[in-house]
Amino acid sequence: MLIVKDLVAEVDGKTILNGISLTVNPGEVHAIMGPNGSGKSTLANVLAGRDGYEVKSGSVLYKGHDLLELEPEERAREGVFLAFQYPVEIPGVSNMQFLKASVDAVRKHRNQPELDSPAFMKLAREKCKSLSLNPDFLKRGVNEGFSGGEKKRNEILQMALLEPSLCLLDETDSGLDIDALQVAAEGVNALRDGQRSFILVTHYQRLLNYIVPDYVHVLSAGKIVKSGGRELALELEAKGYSWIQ
Amino acid sequence: MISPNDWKQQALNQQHTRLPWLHNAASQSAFAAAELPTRKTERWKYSPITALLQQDYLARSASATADETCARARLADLSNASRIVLVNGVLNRALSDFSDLENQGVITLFSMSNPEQRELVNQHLGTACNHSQHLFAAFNDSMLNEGLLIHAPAMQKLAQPVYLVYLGAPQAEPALAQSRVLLVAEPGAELQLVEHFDSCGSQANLFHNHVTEIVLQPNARLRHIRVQVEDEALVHINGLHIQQARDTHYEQHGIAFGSQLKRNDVNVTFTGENAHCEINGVFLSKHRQHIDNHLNLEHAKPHCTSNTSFKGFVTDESRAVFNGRIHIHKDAQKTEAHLNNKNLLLSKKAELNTKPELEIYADDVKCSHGASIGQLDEKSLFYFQSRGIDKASAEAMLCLGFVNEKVEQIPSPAIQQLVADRLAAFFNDVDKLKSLWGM
Repeated sequence: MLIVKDLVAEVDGKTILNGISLTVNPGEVHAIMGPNGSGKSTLANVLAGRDGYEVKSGSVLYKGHDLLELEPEERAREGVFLAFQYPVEIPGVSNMQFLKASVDAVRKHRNQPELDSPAFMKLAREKCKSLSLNPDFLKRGVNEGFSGGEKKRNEILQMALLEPSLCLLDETDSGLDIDALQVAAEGVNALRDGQRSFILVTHYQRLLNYIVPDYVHVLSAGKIVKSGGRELALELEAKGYSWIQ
Repeated sequence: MISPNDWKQQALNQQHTRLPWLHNAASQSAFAAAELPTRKTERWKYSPITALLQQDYLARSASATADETCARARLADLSNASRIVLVNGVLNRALSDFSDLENQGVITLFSMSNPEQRELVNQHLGTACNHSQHLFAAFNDSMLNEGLLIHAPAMQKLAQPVYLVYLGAPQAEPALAQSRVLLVAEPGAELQLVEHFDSCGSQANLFHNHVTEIVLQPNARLRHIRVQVEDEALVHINGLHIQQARDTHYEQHGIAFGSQLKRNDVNVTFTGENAHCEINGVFLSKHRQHIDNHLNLEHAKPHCTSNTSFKGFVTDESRAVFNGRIHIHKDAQKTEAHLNNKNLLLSKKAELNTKPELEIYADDVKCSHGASIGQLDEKSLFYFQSRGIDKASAEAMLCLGFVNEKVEQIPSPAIQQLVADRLAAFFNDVDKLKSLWGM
């Protein structure tokens, strides 16, 4: 699915990723943990193609193709999905318009028939329900005035509608109370189908109680300094990041 | 091109057609005394009136015939409203439908008014407007031969909105269209007014000079929607003058497209305590259009509140002006006044001048003012792109979203629909977005 090799990336001339290598196979869930400033979010953003992140060396192969060659929207259409740490508020554009434009673009790329408005509405409402979101919020501006929990669930909703192959979740757990965390995690778990892969970026192992990873990697100063199974997260929780640095 | 002085002389020579019973003589001399704006006139600094002088608009009055099919297609679907359609400033009965309110004496033409209504007109016309500062309003006064009086009776709530449509029809030669509205809301009256400025065909030969005066007597409430979506060749100078007595409530939602020259003056004067004024607007200019929004709020009495919020969308080689002034007089203690103007400037060749002004002479007030000029937000663009939406479409959606935030506040679904249709056409033709639009 994804092969990252010796990836070095800069932001504003400062090296943030310093030689990351990571292989994610179909169906796997990888958790990336690490202290603040270790490069976790940068990794997610580089993979999604955000401007301002300059890749200096290394490679990223996604489904056998060079991911770094693609524009952000092309990556999204090819099945890479980034759930934002801070979803953007866009007043004046309704959530429905946004979701429809997004799903239309992705389906068109995949040669799937475009969904007409009623069919899309129905689908969106169903997904809302499964994420305990009031369908009314489809009419509101994108993330406008949403609570932290609603914003994160909106990200999961988009993910469910776009049916990506590789999901990057950037601190989806931050700012969530236990109930909201559980709902979000259930939304993610519902998308685990043995083929779809996930990279979870998180500070805390709490999220991993709900979304159980196959692998845990610890990032420090832009490098993966330790990899292991689920138990590594628990060990980190007990001993702190200083133990690994 | 006509020289400014010749234009003025020509304008003065047109006075003889005025309604004889209007004993509002001050305005004639006011017009004679008023100076034509030049580059040195602060209020017109960024809006040269050259467009007005380039053609001999004063040579004739615009003809009042419009293509009926086109005209009907322009109308908003306000089925329950009393509709008054003026074509180039002249009432068109076939397109209008306001017999109920006409029979009740709520709406009347000046030329058909009874003595009581004439007295009302003479009592209020021109009182809300300072003619020495508003030359074009004085010009409108000076040759006033027709107007529309809306007289909302005391303690009554008008169930149906008053829907005024100002339609411009194409002219073979340069011509002038003037229109005038006086709205007097008696104590405790409540109503909704929709002013819709639109065109059938090119307005390359038209100069429209319009004045609306609104007098709100104690406890009156008015909801005012203003839509200016005319053809871009038009020269349109528009004055809106509002007087608010004590305990009145005025709320305005507006959208205005730019044109060859468009000037919107909005002037609010509080003449009593505890009144509230809310003005929400959005202006858009593209191509080589020009739009100038001048707002002036005279807080002359204590305990009044005002809230003014404008957005501007400026692109291509167009020029836009926003000038919002809050003037708090010495006695206007406990005033609360806020004003802001947020703009999206999308093109290197476009120009925007924004100036929020606070002038405070009282010492116990709560005020704020601010303006910003920005471009499309990179984070928002990336958010769209990360969802598979290409950058061009993302830009187009963000532009529409920027404007929509104001459109969504218009308290009429029918007008929202009308505006949405016009916006789609507007954006479709923005040079910068041309290749991008079409979702």
